[in-house]
This record gives sequence, C-alpha cells and structure tokens, in this order.
Amino acid sequence: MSGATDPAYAWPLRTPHPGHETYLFDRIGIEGMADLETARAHGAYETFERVLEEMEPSEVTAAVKDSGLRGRGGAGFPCGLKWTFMPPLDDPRPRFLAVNADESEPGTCKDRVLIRRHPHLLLEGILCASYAMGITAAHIFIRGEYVEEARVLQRAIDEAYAAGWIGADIRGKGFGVDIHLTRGAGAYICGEETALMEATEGKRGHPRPKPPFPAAVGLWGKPTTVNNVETLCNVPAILAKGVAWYRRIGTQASPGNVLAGISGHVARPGVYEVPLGITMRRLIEDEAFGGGVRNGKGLKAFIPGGSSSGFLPPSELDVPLTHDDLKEKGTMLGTASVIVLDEDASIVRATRIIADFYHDESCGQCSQCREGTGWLARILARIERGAGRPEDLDILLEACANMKGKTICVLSDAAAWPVELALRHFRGEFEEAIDRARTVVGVAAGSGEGSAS
Amino acid sequence: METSTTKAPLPPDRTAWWERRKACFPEARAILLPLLHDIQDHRGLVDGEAMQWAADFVGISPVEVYGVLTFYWMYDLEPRAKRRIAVCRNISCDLMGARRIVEALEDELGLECDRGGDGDWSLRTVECMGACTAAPMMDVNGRYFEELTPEKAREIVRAIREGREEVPEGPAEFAPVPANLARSWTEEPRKEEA
Ligand SMILES: Cc1cc2nc3c(=O)[nH]c(=O)nc-3n(C[C@H](O)[C@H](O)[C@H](O)COP(=O)(O)O)c2cc1C
Ligand code: SF4
Ligand code: FES
Repeated sequence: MSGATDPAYAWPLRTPHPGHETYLFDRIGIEGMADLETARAHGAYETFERVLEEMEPSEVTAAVKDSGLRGRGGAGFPCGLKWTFMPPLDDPRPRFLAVNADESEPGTCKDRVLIRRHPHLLLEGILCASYAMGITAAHIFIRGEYVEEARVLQRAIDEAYAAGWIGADIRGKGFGVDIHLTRGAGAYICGEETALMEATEGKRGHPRPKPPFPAAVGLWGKPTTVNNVETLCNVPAILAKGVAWYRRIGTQASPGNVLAGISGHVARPGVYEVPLGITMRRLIEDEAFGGGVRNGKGLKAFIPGGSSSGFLPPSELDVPLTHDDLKEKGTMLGTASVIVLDEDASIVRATRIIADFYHDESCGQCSQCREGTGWLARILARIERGAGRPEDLDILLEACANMKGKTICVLSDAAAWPVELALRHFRGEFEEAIDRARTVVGVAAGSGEGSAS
Repeated sequence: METSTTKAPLPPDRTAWWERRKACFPEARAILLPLLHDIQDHRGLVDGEAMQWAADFVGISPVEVYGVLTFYWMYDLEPRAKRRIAVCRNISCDLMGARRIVEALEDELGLECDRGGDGDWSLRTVECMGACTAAPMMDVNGRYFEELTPEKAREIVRAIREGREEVPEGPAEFAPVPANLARSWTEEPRKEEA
C-alpha cells in the first residue's frame, strides 16, 4: 500500500534540532514506537515505575507545579496548580481525568503526531497524572476524524493493559487506574473542556456554565481534571529529569519546549519541538524550521497560535513565543500553531474563512455567539465578493464587542479576536476591498443583495 | 440483557462486545458516540430503527439519540456513498490551494462539491482536519491524503477506482475489553450529599 509517508512530521524527522534538547519528539523517529515492546526498549514506563516506587502522589503534583508547566491546549493555565484544585486524596468519591485529544483549532496538528508516533508517552503521562491526583479512570476523548490515530492509541492501550501497565493494582504497588478511549464524531466545540466532558458522557457537545468548575463537578458529576495531550506528554520528562532541568528550557514564566506547527506559505511546513521564548522570526525564517516564506515571496502576515489568535504584521516578527509576550501584542500563544500568509494572500478572505468556521462550529446555546458569528461571516462574505459597504467595518467591530465576555464558553470571544486583529493591522485592505467594490460594481453593491440580516 | 424490541443493527458478537463495553463507564450512554459509528460502519447510515435500538441499548430516549446524531457532522441519516471524499477548506489548506483540489476532484468525479453524491462517490468540503502542516489534504472514508496537488488528487481517485489504493470500507476492528479493569466506582458506590 502506498501513501505510507507521514508528511505532517516528515520535516522534523529529517532535520535534527540544532542547539536545544528535545523530550517530546526525541523518540518519534524510531520505527515502531507505537508498539509496546519497542517503546519499552526505549524507556517507556520507566519513569512511571520509578514514580510508583519512590514518590508520594503529593510529590508528583509538587514537581509539576514547580516546573512551571503551562497547559498546551490553548489557555496556558499552570498545570500543577490545576491539579491541586482536586479534592484531597482521602476524599472517597471517584474522580476522573479527561484527556483532551480533540485537537480541532485550525492550524493545529501537534497532538496527532504524538498520538501516532509515541502513544505510550501519552499513556505514561496519564499514568503519572493519575497517580498524583488519585484518578479512578482517565477518559481520552479523540476527535472522530482521527480514525487512524484512534486505532493506534487503542492498540497501545490494549497492549499496556495486557502488560499490566494499566488496570487494577499496577506492578503490585496498590495503585490502579483505567484508561478509556472515546471517539468523537466531528464538532470543534468538543475541545472546550466542559463540552469535552458532555461528549465523553455520550451527549451533544454543549459547554456547561462555569462555575462549577470541573475539579468540583466534572465527568458524571465527579471531580475531574481536564488536560491536553501535549501537556501530559511533558510530565514524564519533568519527573525523570527534574524540575531544575526543565526550568532551564524556555523562559521563567513559560518553561519547557512546545510543539509549534508551521503551516501556510512557508518553505518547510511541519511540527517542530522548540523551546518557548524562541522568536517568531526564527521559527518562520530559520532553515531548521519554517525556512522562510516559500517561492521567495514577501511576508504579509502571520497567525501566531491557531485561528483564534488573529493576524500580526511582519513588524511583529521579533515577538518571542511565550504566553505573556503574545498577550502583550493583543494575541495569544494558543496552540502555538503558526500560519504564514505571503504577500499575495488576501487577509479579507482569510478572515472570512475563519469567521465561517466559528459560525459553523458555534453550538448555538448563547444568542451573542450564535447571532454574532453569523453576522461576522455574512458581512465578511459580502466584502470578499465585492459587495461591501463603507459602514461594514464599524458594524463588524460593534458585533465583535457584543460577542465578548458574555457567553457560556469563549468560542464567541475566539471568533471576535481574529476579526478585531485583522481590522487593527490590515484595515486598509478591507477598505480597499470595499472601495473597489463601489467603483467597479457600484450599482450591484447598492442593490440590496447580500444584506447582513 | 437485551430488552429492545427492535432488531439489533449489529452482528451478535458485536452487540455482546458493546454490552461488555458499557460496563467500562459509570453510565451506559457514554458508549453512544462510538456505538453510532459502529452501526454506521455496518449499515451505511443510522436510520430510525437503529436509533430506536441504540436508545434502548443505552437506556435513553430515541429523541436524545437523534439530538446527538444531528449535532455531529460525521453521522449520516441518509444512505451514504461508498467512497466519501472530504476536502479541508480551512485556512491552512485554503492558502495552499484547497480550491484547486476541489475543482480537480469535481472534474475527475463529474460531481458538484457539497451537493450530495452519486451513490458511488460523494464530495464535500469540511473544516480543519488537523493536517494543516501537510496542506492541502483530503480524507477518503477516514484515510488522510496529504500534501496534495490537483494532479495527485486526481490520481488518488483513479487509484482507488482501480483498486490500486485502499481506503477503509466497513467496520473497524474490535478492541479487547481489558481483563484487569480497576473500575473502582462500581466497586465502591458512594452516596453524596447534594
Ligand atoms: C472553543 C474551544 C475549543 C478548544 N479546543 C481544544 C482542543 O481541541 N484541544 C485542547 O486540548 N484544548 C482545547 N481547548 C481548551 C480546553 O478548554 C482546556 O483549556 C484544555 O483542554 C485544558 O488542558 P491544558 O490545561 O492541559 O491545556 C478549547 C477551548 C475552547 C474554548
Ligand atoms: S459561546 Fe458559542 S459555542 Fe460557547 S456555549 Fe455559547 S453558543 Fe455554544
Ligand atoms: S486547515 Fe486544513 S487540515 Fe487544518
């Protein structure tokens, strides 16, 4: 059977990472790492076994907290701190870990590489986290489109169960946990942590109002921690090599490596493991990573962290890839998924595509989100097709303002941010599109076709 | 303990497997999403009868099953084509030429995108599939084809047609239900105050 190449990670496999340590992708190039036997030969579960023997659960949580690891699912919340929100270990209620493998933020495909190439690393991370928090069962929810990844991961789970790494009384140490995998069926919103729990329970992915937070009322009403796949994959390295080692990578407030996906108009698209704090310029231009804008073209804009992080102009290329630096620029690290637009790309079209996406994926519970995403999509569509009106840009900004901070989850905010950023940095391009429409097809634009309501 | 009056849409061994799988979760309906995938893989769609059966099987109402089915894009209520192509239309793929892939496929298949199919093939666009760094991409029956060009996309269709390239058809494989489940919430059921 042909098509056996895996282009999504082919580049990083071909290119050794110069000048920095890797601990997420260090073993993904090894043939057969998805098989337990090969993974064991390369150290899988050794850290977990040592943790079971030598560490108290509270010490594991303390190490993760001290490491400064922040969630890699988008929000960047301190991981160890989140774990401490769980009730004390002597609380008799069952408790769950919800593992977020829904990965659906446009531009993002990092968890997929980890799951395909090194599923036992994820399972080891889950086991360490489960030990720390006294988890009864971990429920991995994987997006339905990842058929092959679900197959690989299920096989890894089966092998680990059969070998006694998962299940009752692991290694005879008195600690037991189950790990289950549930496949979704296609809905971006299921990546939102409370929607993820609804979907895991077999329901529609409707986000729940917070509070209560998952640590109090989560899966099946029980205390639950939600973590992203990549976040959990950081845990074994922290426990194996120590907090001091981990904190030497990255920056003070954003330690560690991150899986940065680079897509769009670059010479070498791929998922790269890089230390946090690396500049966008290096990530996009360095020969070891993006390799610069392809075909010798100029850069028009880049999206720093997935579709909801919006557009930045080339003048911001020296921003370091950290939570705080990107926040200062009015955007966010998000999923560290960089999307590059060359000089010929249309910001209007790119913004419209992203707006369409949020409109499609709004779950419809909140009127601000349901209506707002529709407005954005419709107005941007008419600007793109040359029927825009001068007042449209103000209408867009007003719609954005109404969408933020008022809804059950932040999808509504996430839909507004990229439109606001596009208008902040590239307003001229929208105005041009509207002006062009008025001079070229002035009559058609005023004909009433394409009304926003 | 089959209580349903409708005929099971799955072979008996499969139904028995799902019966055991239910016990992995505090509530039976947690299996609903994967169960509906399985029914769809066996029958090509989830029809009213299957919906009724699934509802009985996990102990909820058919209306709730319907609510779930219609929330997620991957389920089909109508018979689906044998080969189903989904081309990503989102940002990374669009930048890398997804539109040209769709045009090439429309031409190769003699179909209009997003207008159903002809029983043998269907063609639609979808949102980001998580293959952005290998854009543009398409999915055929759950198998990804990445780093496409219009010519490559056409060639893949031809290869599938002629049996030179395989795509998944029919149900996925069984996973064993583990023997050493920890499952402590069923061993120690506890009452909680409200
Ligand atoms: C609309 C929306 C979609 C999200 N999608 C994902 C996702 O696909 N994967 C993910 O890990 N987190 C996603 N998140 C973030 C989760 O809500 C949650 O913060 C995260 O899984 C927590 O894990 P972490 O702390 O380890 O990052 C999403 C959030 C929102 C609001
Ligand atoms: S903000 Fe949007 S996606 Fe989130 S709960 Fe409300 S309607 Fe649903
Ligand atoms: S944008 Fe097409 S796979 Fe992500």
